[in-house]
Order: sequence, then C-alpha cells, then structure tokens
Amino acid sequence: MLLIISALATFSYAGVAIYIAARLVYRAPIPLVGNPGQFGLRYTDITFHARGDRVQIKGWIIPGVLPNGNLTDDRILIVVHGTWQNRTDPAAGVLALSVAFARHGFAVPAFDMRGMGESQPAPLSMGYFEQRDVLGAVDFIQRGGWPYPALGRPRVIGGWGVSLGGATLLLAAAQEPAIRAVVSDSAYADVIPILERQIPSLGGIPPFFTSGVLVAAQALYGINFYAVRPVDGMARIAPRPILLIHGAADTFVPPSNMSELYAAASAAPSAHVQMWLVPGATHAQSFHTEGAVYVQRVVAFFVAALGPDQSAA
Amino acid sequence: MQTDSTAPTNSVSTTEKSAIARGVLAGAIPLFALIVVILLAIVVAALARALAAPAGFFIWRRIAEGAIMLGLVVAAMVYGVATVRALRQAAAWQRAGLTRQSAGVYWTLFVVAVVTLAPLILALTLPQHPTL
Repeated sequence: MLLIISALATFSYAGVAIYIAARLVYRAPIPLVGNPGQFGLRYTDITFHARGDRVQIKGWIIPGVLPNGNLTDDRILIVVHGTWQNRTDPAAGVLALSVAFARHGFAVPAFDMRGMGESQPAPLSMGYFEQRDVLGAVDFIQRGGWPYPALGRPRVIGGWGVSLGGATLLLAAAQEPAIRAVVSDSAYADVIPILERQIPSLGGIPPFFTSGVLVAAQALYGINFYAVRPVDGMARIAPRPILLIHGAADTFVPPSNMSELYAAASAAPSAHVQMWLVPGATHAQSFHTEGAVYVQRVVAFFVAALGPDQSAA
Repeated sequence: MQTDSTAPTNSVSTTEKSAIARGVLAGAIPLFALIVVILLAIVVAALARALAAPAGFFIWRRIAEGAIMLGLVVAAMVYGVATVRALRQAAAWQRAGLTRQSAGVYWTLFVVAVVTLAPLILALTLPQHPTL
C-alpha cells in the first residue's frame, strides 16, 4: 500500500510540475506597437545572434541626434525591455524612452529578447539565457555589420533595462567590461522569491510545487533559475557606474531588491553606485511617474559616466 | 574444540548475510529501474536541446517534453512491474522457507517507497521565501 501511495503521489507531483513548467516558459509574443519613425527619428532594423547559442535576435538602431541635427553613434545605450514584452513596451515606456535617449544624443540599439517580439522563439528564463542576447548586442555593436558606417564605430556602450531587462543587463554587465555604465530599473536581486510567489498563482497550485516546477524547467529546457541572481555579480561591475531605480510602491518586485543590489554593488572597494527610490511608482512605472525628471536624471547619469559626445572631435 | 565450534558459526553468518543481500538486491530493483529510466529521459531531453536546437524552439521543445513525459510514463510502468516481480519473488522465497531473503525484499521495498516519496517530502519541507 505504501508503495502504491508513494508512487502515485510522486508521479502525480512530477506530472503537474512538468505541465506547469511548460506553461511557465512560453507565451505567444506580443506584436510591436509603433516604431521610432513615428517620432520623426531615423532608425534601421537589425538582426544579430545571441552570444554562445546563436539565437536570432531582432531589433533596431536609432542614431543619436545632436543639438545641431547631425546624427551620431559615438555613445551607445542598449535598451532592454521586461518580461513578455518587446522593444516598444508601452506599459513601461520603452520606445518613448528610447526616443528620448536618441534625442539627447545617444544611439539606441533596442531589441526583442529571445522568445519575445520578433526574435526567435525560445523559453523565458528570467535572465539565465537572455543575458546572452545582451552580450550578443555588445558583439554586434563592436564587430557586427554596422548600419551607419558613415558615422563610424561607437566609442562607448552603456545600458538601460527595466524589470527582467534590468536584471538581465546586470547579469550581462557583470561579465562584459565593454558595458561601461548601467541603469537598472525595477530589477530583482534574486528571481527565486518572485517565482515562489508567481508559480503557485500562475498554475493555481500549492506552493510546494514550486521546487518541482523549477527542477522540471531545468530537465526540460536547461534553465537553472537558481542561478539567476544578479545580486551575486554586482561587485564585479565596479568601478563602472550603476544607477538603480525602483518604484517605492512596487509590490511585484519589492524595493528591498534594490537595497540588496545596492549593498552588493557597494561591497566593491571602487564601487560607483547610486539608487533612486521613486515615490508612488509601481512596478516598472518610474518613467511614467516621473516623466521628464526621469529622463533628465538618467541622461545626466550617462553623460557623467560615458562622457560627452565626441563625434565632432 | 573451540576451533570446531567457531567454524560453523562463521559459515552460517556468511550464508545469512548473502541471503539478506540477495533479498535487498531483489527489493532494490524497482528503484534502480526508476532511476535509470528517469536519467535516460533527462539525457534524451538534454540531447534534444543540443541536437535539435538549429531546428528551432518548437521542435526541440516538443522532443524534450515528449522525452520527459514518455520517461515519466515508462518509469511508472517499469517501477510497477519491477515492484510486482519483487513482491512475487519475496512470496516465493517465503513459501520455500527462505525467510531472510523475503524479509530483505520487504524491508528494501519499504525503503524504496520512502525514497520514491523523498522528492515530495523535500518539496513539502524545503523553506520558501516568496516575495509578498
């Protein structure tokens, strides 16, 4: 009897965990809404490969616009969107912010992370695989078929990311010194506490299924969610500057995540890290809440970190 | 005299031990079979990811999910068949008066049941700190 009960219980548990893992990692992509051309900006569609596994990533590059109207790609800001979104993401204002960066003289490569937007289908791994997309963007900027040869190769690279994009950017920056400055908005320090809340609510299952789902995701898709801990790599980003932004009213990824990230980054002796807690902002809504102040503050950070545009020099 | 009385005792002890070992081995077969099938399914899923990756996510996902689901079903069947066979073997040994072998099977099957349940027990007892 004990044999039957143990077998039935364990196999049923495994079956449910596998089913939920399959639902967790894929969702039909959301189509893009708009493009930089609608804001009167020039842009070029690009395709590149993620570093390592060569997943095809689609995006665009918006050249920066100088006050005299000339285009520039001297300073690059890689823009990284959030979960189940794409490079236009109106909810977090990703396209609007890309446009704002371009108008402040930064060239903006914005792309759809794997499995989202127009990029190649892939499982959602909350940064575990997606960091390869950011690293692929760096490779493309440094060595790819640059669409604006007349402007020359970019001089410096920075990055802005929101939510999953913010966490992914931190993971990528920890291993890629070419990313010289990072603004991470609403990032998590460790994805497991988020999944421990989200998986039961997504699957309508008791919390004890979570670990089974995570193991199933590893067996099925090779995703090690336990390794998605941007907090562990924060000290490696130093001395490159980091600006952490978080909504004070964020209940999805609580602001304590920013404090954890800040503490970890500050542990490095040569750390340059700042944080900004935006009053009243919910998850990934700091830009919408602060508007022009947000743009001004982020642009000022990047100008200080990457220096002024030197294309005319 | 002492030498004569010690030799048979050692011989009986060795026989007892090997009888219990036979029983334990027979009882452990369902667990070994379960582990082998599950590992095989995981290896097939990993190979599918690696080899079918150029064909795209939807293809390798189907192969990996199919391998794991099939592995689960096959593992359940193999586990069931191996358990029934172990129980039959234990009953046959009991009828033949080989009580140590049969006891070895029953006790090992008890341990197998607990080990099979271990992932569930672990999942229930592992601490969680969900973001509230």
